[in-house]
Amino acid sequence: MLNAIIRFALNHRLLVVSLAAFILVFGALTVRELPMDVFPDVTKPTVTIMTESHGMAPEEVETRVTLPIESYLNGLTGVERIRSQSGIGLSVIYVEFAWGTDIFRSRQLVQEKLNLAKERLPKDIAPIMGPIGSLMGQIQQIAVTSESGAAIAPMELRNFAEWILRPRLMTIPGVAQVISIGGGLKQYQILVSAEKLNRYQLSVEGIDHELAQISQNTTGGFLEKDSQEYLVRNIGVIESADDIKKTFVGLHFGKPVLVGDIAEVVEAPRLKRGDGSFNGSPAVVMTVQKQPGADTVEITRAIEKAIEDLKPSFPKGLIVNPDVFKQSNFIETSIRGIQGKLQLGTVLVFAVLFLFLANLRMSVVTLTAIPLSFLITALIFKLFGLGINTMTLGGLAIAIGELVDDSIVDVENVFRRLRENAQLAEPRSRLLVIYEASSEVRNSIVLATVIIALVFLPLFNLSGLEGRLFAPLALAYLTALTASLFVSLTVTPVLCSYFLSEKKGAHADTKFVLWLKKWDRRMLESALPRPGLVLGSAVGLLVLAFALVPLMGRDFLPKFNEGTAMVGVSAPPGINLAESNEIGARAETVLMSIPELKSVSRRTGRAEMDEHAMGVNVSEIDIDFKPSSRSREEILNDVRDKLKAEIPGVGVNVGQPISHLLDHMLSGVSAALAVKIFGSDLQMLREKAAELQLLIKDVPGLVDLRVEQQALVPQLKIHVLREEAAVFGLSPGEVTKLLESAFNGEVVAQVIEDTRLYDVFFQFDQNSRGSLEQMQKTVLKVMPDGNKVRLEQVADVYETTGPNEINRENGQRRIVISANVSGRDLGGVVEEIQSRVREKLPLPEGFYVVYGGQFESQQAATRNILMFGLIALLGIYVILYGHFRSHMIAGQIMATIPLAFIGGLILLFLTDRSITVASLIGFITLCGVASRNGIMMISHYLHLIKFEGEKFDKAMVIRGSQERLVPVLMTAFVTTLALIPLVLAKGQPGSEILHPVAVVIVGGLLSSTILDLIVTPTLFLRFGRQAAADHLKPNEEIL
Amino acid sequence: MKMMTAFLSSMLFLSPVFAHEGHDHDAPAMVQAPRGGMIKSVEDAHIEVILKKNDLKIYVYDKDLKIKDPKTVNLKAQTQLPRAKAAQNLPLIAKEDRFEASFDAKGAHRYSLVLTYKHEGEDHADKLTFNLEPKK
Repeated sequence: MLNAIIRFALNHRLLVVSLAAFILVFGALTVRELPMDVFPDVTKPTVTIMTESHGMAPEEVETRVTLPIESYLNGLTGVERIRSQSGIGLSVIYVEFAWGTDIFRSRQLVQEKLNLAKERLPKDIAPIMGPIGSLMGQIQQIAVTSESGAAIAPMELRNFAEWILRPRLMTIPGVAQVISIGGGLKQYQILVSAEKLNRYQLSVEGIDHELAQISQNTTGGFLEKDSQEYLVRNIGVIESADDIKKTFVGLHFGKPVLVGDIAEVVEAPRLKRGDGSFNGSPAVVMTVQKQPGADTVEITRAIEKAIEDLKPSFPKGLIVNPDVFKQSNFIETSIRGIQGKLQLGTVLVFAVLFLFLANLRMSVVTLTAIPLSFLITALIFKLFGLGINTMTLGGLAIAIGELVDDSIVDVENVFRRLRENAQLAEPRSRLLVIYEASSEVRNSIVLATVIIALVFLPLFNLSGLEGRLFAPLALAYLTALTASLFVSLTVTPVLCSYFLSEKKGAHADTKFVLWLKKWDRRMLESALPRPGLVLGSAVGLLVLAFALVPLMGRDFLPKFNEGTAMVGVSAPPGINLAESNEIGARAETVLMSIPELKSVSRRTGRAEMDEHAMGVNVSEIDIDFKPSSRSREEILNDVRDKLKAEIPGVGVNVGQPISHLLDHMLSGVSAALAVKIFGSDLQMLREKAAELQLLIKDVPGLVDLRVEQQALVPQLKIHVLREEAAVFGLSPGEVTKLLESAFNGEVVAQVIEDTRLYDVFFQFDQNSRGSLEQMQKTVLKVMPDGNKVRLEQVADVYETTGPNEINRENGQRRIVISANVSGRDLGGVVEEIQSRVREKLPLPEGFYVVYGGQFESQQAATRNILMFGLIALLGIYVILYGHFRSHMIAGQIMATIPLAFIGGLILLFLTDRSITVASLIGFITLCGVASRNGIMMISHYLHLIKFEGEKFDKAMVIRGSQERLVPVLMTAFVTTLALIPLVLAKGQPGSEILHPVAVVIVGGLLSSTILDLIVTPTLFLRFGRQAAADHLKPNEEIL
Repeated sequence: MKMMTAFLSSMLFLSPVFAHEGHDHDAPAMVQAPRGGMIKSVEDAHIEVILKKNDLKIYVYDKDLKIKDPKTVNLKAQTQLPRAKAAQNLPLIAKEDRFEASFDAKGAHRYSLVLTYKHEGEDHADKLTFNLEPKK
């Protein structure tokens, strides 16, 4: 079939050229339309369920909300983990499904369970599902601030953000959600005075009843008059603060009492559980989330344009800064970086081709394979809805060398046969010669390509984050490689027919090649008679290389360089928002004193609607950097040290936004390492966590060590005394309901201003609930004889403490001790921690420790990659045996793989000193690439014996080696040079994951190529005689 | 003036220890309880109380949250049930790193633990009240 393809191409040369030109043009246009992102979508299918629980304490939220919902969700098809957080007035449950699960189906299943669970939840409490999110979904942060001196009130800033900017941004295609924090959400508040209530002898019960009807419109049906019908509307809705003040709430000695008589009505910000600031000034910080699969760069451009369009209508002195955090900056920097490396790689490939071939036409024909293969890949990506990201571009970067490889072999052989043909007395048809020359090498080309494809296939079986990351790399690589195979069978022979000259003596080895061949001959002359020494040296080098493994660290993925960083500052739980704001502001001041920092934006606590349930004691500070001579690691260490020194008593966690999200996805914790203690007793969990923290705090390399902030926070409890309450005809339920209205407050209506809707909120004023004593005096009921029932008569009011939050995982309470690692490998740190915990942390019955985070993923990924690597090796062996029908030849070709590992390990040790999932992928790639050289070399020896009359001796081996020297060296040089830009790009944005892959391949190719030139001929001469003889026998079993 | 002098003298000489609750002891502390219990602070120490049913563990830390040896700490305890008229003394047992005690609240939803902490080398003492809920 392959011959038929070559024949068809040569018979329809114009069609082939036209198709190639069409692919070039259409592919170039298509590339621009492909969606762009940093990484492939690595979001694990997760459904988030949020349940607002009206100021309930965490214990109540856990038992009355979280547990009933969890009990229904347990056992749901495809669920891998259920995590929950029960905080003050909020339950957040994360239901994580297995990778590859259909998120829409999962949401449907969850919704069905929620409908059932609702029956077991307290009245008026309804769980809602968060929107379908993406790990890389938080694409931009926008700060709304005022110019210095403009003094726009925080409530006005929020009004602008909420009612003007947000609606505009929400209409941009691809925007899923815009969440604002900071400023103040406007509200009409009815602040009732307990003292005035007493004076007018009104009860909370009565006020509550009246205010529930403060604003109501109803319909009066239709009135028919003069052949027309009139819609009758009963208007009772409030439209202003004055309307509220004039509303009736009760009678006092027969006279009506209005809201204005007992309460103050004000426009004020809603109770805040979070705040924001930008560069130290109060601000509304808006976080934009995109829909899964939407193009981040395109949305960011649209957002900036929308803001620019709105600018003329901004209130005077109001500033909107869209550049607080932009993921598109990271994407563009990363993609530009990789594209640059691809371009540089292509130029280097051309230089190598020209250096070896010294023929512009041959070089150009060979090089055509690169753009054609890339653009065919782009077209296939478009067809299957895939996009451009650092991993797919990385696949192409790794493939560059291989792409031209097929064409090199073809062009070189065609050129040689054309030259031989030209020397004939009667030269044959030019197209026939090209056809035969292309057919001659197609077997080895296809065999090598199949082997490379085989080693990449296991990458599609990788599960977890590593599978999501590397499958697109493998897909891009294989698609490009298959495309290049197709190009080498079609376009390359056609271009050869147009461009290659067949004049006699038109081509000869260059001086450089002659020099290489001279050295190669000398080496072979001295090596071939000494097989023991050669093989012994190779084994020695291999042992030496593997001896480096224990000296290297082990990490899951290389560290990212995202361009921005995120600092978490956690004050002790229990402090109020004002105090936490103060601490956050101090942290901002400290950060702004670091010269490399460009901007600082802070979010303290939780925004309304946000599924990120943070306590008010926690601040997240996003920082952006100026260009600097100091490394990012140095700056981040400086950030960490300064914050710890200047603000004692707070927990500091320094990381990067995307890395944090990845960590969170892996373990539910925003840190690289999570030690989780499971158990039922909260106090014991806190005690054991404290012990564990003390135990491991001096482990070298451990930074940002902190215990999850589960602590006791102050509570004021009003414990209803049933017998006393019964005396006054009050049930505990009545009492608590009345107290909720009085102290917690409730929304009783809405005021409509233009199209804006503001809540009307009723609560006791500060003087009536500002102290324990005032609360105790609250009148709950006025008895028929005029006696007032006060709270202190029916309840015990006292200060105590309760947990700030209760976290659960898979149905068990748990506490997490988290940390990052700096200056040491993750694997080593975890081993030391495990050993200390095993020896020195006694746990009560039913308690246990689980380790999670990147470490967990690294172990699983390493296991999988090694297993799949072995399967791939077995596959290579089977294919080689199938082709050569000789265990010895298959074994000799595969002997080049360990030779490649020598260089891979040594270069990895010299550059990164850490074995990551990325470097393991590099080793897998090496298996295929290294086998290719062996195939080319040994096939040629067999060819010389079979077709060119050579005997099995030293001369044949030297001749074969010399003739394969140029293709082998060209292949190695081309691949190596194409990857050199990535090898030199350590820590550069977008190259973080690809750098170790490139290091291993380049190191491996260097060692395998150099050693291969000596070891393979020596091995073949020493052990290949019988195998070669067997191979050349006609295969009698084939019919 | 004489009355004033007499009053001040009596306060100074007659009461060997001047216990008071004048500081902001009950405000949320800017420290996180090292063992996850209830923590309150005085000038030179933090006191953490951990209750497990009837059993009490009381840890005393210095300003840097290092444990103070109970044998060097002068700490007294009283308990009072809600709406009870009088408090009762609670004997504390000094262990290696903490005090321990046991109190049966007889089914009450809470009781107050009043700790009197006498500062080292000084005559004045601080009183700290912890409202404890044995059923939680």
